[in-house]
Amino acid sequence: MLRPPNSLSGMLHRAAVWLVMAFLCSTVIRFILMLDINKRVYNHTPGPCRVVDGISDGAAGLEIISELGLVFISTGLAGAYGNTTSRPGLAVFQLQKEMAKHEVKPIKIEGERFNQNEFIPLGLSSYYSKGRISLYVVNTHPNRQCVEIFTYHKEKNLLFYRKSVCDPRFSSISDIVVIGADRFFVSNLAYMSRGYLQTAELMMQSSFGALYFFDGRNVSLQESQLSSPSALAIDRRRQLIYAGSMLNENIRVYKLERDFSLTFRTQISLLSSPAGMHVDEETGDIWVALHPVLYQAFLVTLSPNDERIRSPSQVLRVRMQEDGVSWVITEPYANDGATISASNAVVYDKEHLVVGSMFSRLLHCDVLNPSIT
Amino acid sequence: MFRTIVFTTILIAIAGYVFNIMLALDINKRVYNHRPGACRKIEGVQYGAEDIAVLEEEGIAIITSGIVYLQPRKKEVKGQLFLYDFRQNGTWKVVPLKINGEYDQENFHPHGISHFITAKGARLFVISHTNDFKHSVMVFDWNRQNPLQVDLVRTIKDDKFIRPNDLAAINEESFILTNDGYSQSKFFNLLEILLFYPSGSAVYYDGTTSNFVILKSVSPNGIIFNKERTHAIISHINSETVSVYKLDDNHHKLLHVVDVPILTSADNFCLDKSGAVWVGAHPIMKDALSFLSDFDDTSAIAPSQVLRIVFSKDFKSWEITEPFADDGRLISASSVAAPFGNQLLIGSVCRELVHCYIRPETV
Repeated sequence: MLRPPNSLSGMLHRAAVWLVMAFLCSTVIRFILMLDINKRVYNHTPGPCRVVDGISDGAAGLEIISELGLVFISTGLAGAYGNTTSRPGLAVFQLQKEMAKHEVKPIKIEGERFNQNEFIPLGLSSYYSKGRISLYVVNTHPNRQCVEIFTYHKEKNLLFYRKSVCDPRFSSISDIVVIGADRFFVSNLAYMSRGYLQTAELMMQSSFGALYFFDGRNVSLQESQLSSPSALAIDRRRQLIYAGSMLNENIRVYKLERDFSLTFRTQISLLSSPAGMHVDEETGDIWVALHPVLYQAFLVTLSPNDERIRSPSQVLRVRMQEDGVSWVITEPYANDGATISASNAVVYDKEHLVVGSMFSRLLHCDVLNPSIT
Repeated sequence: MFRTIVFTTILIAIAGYVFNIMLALDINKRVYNHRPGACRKIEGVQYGAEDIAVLEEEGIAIITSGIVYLQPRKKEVKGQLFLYDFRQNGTWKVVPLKINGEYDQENFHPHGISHFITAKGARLFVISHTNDFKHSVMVFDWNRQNPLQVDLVRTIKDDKFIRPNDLAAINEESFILTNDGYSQSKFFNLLEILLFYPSGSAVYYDGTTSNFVILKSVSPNGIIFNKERTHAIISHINSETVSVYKLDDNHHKLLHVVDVPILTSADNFCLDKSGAVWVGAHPIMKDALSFLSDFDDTSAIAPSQVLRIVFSKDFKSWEITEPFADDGRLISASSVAAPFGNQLLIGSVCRELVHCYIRPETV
């Protein structure tokens, strides 16, 4: 149907077509920029590094208890991406002053009501009080999106299953941060569950991620309209919560109020995709594990067991300045994927840096010059 | 309908071109600081340290300072050659070299430098620009008996020195020189950059005459020979690649071997003892272009980066590490990195010279 030129409806129609085309163009351009096709990393380390023995099935989540030098590790994330040979579980790594051996020990899980077959751990957080270690584990199994709560028995290297926190709104929970006994924030990456629909949702760069809060009894929505919240960290001393956005490539900083509400404070632009975060309580520094080239990280998730497909790894350290609203970013570690592929988690304590990958190795580095690297 | 197809095609072409420019300007990149050890600025160098020649056996570096490029500098900027002694202990000082011979100091603005070891010391080839951006290659002799002086042997002018950037000495008389573009003004240079026009070239000068060895190239910048002097390594700053060429026996041709896509704008090269190539780079093009549009604006900063590239014997594979990166607060727009043992000198286009110690575990 041809409209006569210069008619009002013809002009409106043409304007509408142009607007749609402009929107499509900008969406495509933003999508291509998001993929990071013109980026790479150049290898460097903060000191001597070595691969930790005992991990070959991923170390996608890490949690450290600094008082004890214990690092908890989530393994077997490939099971959530369709790999049936993967054996998801948890392991522990003991940090010491002089480490002759770098080896992890798998942790046995006990509990009658705990179903090992529906357990794929990802984000980890802990609560350590009066010698008692509680471990909070994000279970990212397709059939069971829950936070599993355990008590760790150090002498026996055993986790006792205590209870689960589940909610129908949990579709793709990824990380967790504990603020008190049985009180935590958990991040939901996207509205859709992991799969094609979630990929489409993320490709459109929508903002349907959310933060949920569990107060000991109920789960409530705390923050919504977030773009792909992937990593959480807490600075308990300064009462700050950090939420990393995988696709927006930034970290949102929230003040944790007395009533457990969150007040947005500032946003740290990284221009690299955060996957895991850790706060060094001593200094307040934020350590971030990232995917610097996002399309390669995506390719790795399509073939979790193919060792030929690798993605660069990166660790950044964000140091907030005294004013609380400006920061300096340094890059202690970067690797093109040959040593560690697709870094997904990081912890730091007293010049020990531990970096975990999504589906392959765990790396331990000495940090030789903590003040300048 | 035909008109619609033509119009749509043009629109898609324009969108594609704009997108290419966005990628080339590195708008989605940033620099994350790290250092290989303790670093410090070197006193006395504030108007540039664009290129460095490392005389390995002597333990010294010769640094060019006070560059002019497409636009004049402010009055107090003086073109100089500095000498840095790597064997000094506990101090980090440069000494200006006294130049013996007849030359116009006001119009001396050194750019790229290369050296060739001789019986008495070294022969230096230095590209120099005048205040109004005319070009020449000045030939100096450095004598180890008088280390704080150089003797001007002669000044070479040639119509093939179109916009010279760097050069690599083949022997005491001949060298290969890169022209990083054709235009002589800021506006046309910007056009060359935006159009990715291959207006650059490389010239072999044999002591009396010159020949093009690369006729058309996108912004060839730094040039250096490998340790065995069988290959030339050239950076193409606007296309973010480093290319390797094989030298034929009479130096009349450079035979292309490989392009290394390093995804950062590499500038000048140095070699270390093991033959690894060290390069100063501009990791974010938009910041570098903005910073370099006015060399004397002291409030501007631009990121700096040092890469170390180790090539395989046949140059078909390589490994890249990043010893140094800075967002511009320590050093802005780094152009060269000169390693010596566990020391590293990092020079910038128009401002600082920085010295770092290298802890080998971090590189």
